[in-house]
Amino acid sequence: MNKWYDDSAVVTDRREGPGWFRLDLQLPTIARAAVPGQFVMVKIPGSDPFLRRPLSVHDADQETDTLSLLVAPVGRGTKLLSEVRPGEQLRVSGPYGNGFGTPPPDQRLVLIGGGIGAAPLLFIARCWHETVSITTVIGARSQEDLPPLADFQELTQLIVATDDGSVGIKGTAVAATADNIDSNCVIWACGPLPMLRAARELASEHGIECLVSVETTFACGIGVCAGCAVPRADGQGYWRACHDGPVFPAGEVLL
Amino acid sequence: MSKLAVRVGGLDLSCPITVASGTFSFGEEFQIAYPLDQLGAIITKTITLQPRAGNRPPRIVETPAGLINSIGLANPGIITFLEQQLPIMADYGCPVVVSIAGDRPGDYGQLARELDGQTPVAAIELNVSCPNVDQGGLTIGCDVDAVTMVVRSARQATHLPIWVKLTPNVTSIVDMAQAAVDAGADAVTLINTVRAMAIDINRRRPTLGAGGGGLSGPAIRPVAVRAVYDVFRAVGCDIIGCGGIMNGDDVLEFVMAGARAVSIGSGMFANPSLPWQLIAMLPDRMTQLGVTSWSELVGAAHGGCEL
Repeated sequence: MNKWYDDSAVVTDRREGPGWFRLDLQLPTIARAAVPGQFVMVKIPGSDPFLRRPLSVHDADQETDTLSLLVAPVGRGTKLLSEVRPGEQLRVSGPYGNGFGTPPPDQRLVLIGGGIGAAPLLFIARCWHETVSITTVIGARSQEDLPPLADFQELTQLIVATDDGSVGIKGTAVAATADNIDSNCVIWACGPLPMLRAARELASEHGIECLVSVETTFACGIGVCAGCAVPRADGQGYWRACHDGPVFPAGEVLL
Repeated sequence: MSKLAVRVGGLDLSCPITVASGTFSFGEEFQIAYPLDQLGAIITKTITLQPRAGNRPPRIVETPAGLINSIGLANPGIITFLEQQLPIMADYGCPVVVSIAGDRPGDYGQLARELDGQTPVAAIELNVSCPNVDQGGLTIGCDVDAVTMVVRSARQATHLPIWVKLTPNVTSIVDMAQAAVDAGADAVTLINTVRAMAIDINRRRPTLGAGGGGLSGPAIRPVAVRAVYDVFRAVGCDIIGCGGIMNGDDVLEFVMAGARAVSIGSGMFANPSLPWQLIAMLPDRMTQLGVTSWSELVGAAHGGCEL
């Protein structure tokens, strides 16, 4: 486990779209230490809800010491978090978990994201777009469920898919990936379970590597409470999603 | 000596702030970010004779002012613990209290014997909130005779101080504490989690994979404070108070009710820095209260109680 911090961060910017908001935090310790695929635990201001919320690192800029979070205000905690404004402080700890690592050279990196689950993919694109060729495929139910796309557009080849066809290809992200993949790719995926299963399936059809980022309820975020158990694919008990993941080779975790 | 120094359950602690079993694992994850030598003691994740994978997920669910967990004592087992985790803990510079649990009373004695004389084990905490296979699955901590048997079993196996972490899910926790002390326990830890359940109304099933679980966090603090108060008054034994401590005033509540030391548990899920923040602020708080030694505060809520 790498060095982690529990720190106060000032919110320096806040942007929002139909189904998301983005917070930029002045947070040198964590912004400098984070790698793509890691997450932070964010204290929701006040005493309720009790547990902190795990949020993936959406982007990190080591020159400005800024850490960015992209969040869908879907639950009580994330809705309260959406009310935080620039100038206010948040308590954040991390970075936690194992990230995606280094993409294999000479292979195209295919990032698949479902809705706001695509949040950690931007940091991957940011770190590796100069090193490897990257295709990002982002799927959502509808146009208003899509994350902000401009940065993906700038850094990678972007494909968008929506279930209702309101924008991009009509269908799922994985179905849209199927037409844009070959045996010289690797897949890194982040999103809801059915999407991760489909991504694993697609990867195995092409005999290529697939990493998935797994989401579950976290209490501690650092591996001490064993609350975030996900079954191991080999039947030998459980992984701790926060500590052993959240990124796993798709074949090592029972999705 | 620091004015926070306190003697509890056969141990001299540098301060009354300890970390509760199951919320600190074996300390490695916290050692990366915090000075463990400042802690009064670390109480490890519960160890059993055999390794346990733990319960089917989901294992935690957030509830008002707390959470329900059903981890299922996931742990590496005593053999792996002695080989891999315990040696690392020797460098922490604070007392290590090893929590143990078994399926039957004899398991406690066997585990205590394995831990006896091992560095850096300073004491053993008996987790009695588990089913007794010999009694058809009745929770050990819910039966006076079973508590007596497990404490005796451990007492005969080791000279280490023995703490017993009692379950609040009983008619009279005073009876359980008395039984533990009579059988040779040096202290009781009050309290373990409160039996609880949440229902997933969409799935029309209990939310947790195991069905029910144990409630912790500020939701149970008044239950824990009452248990400490009652046991202090009736039994007068050393008590480690535990349940929903989130700040310094919460610590004082437990201490004035009769706890000599406290354990921080779920509070670290909301604020991982909490134990160290408490250690830093308590000396000033004592000055504000006009006390020079910690033991002046122990049981202070009992008015006129001679300490």
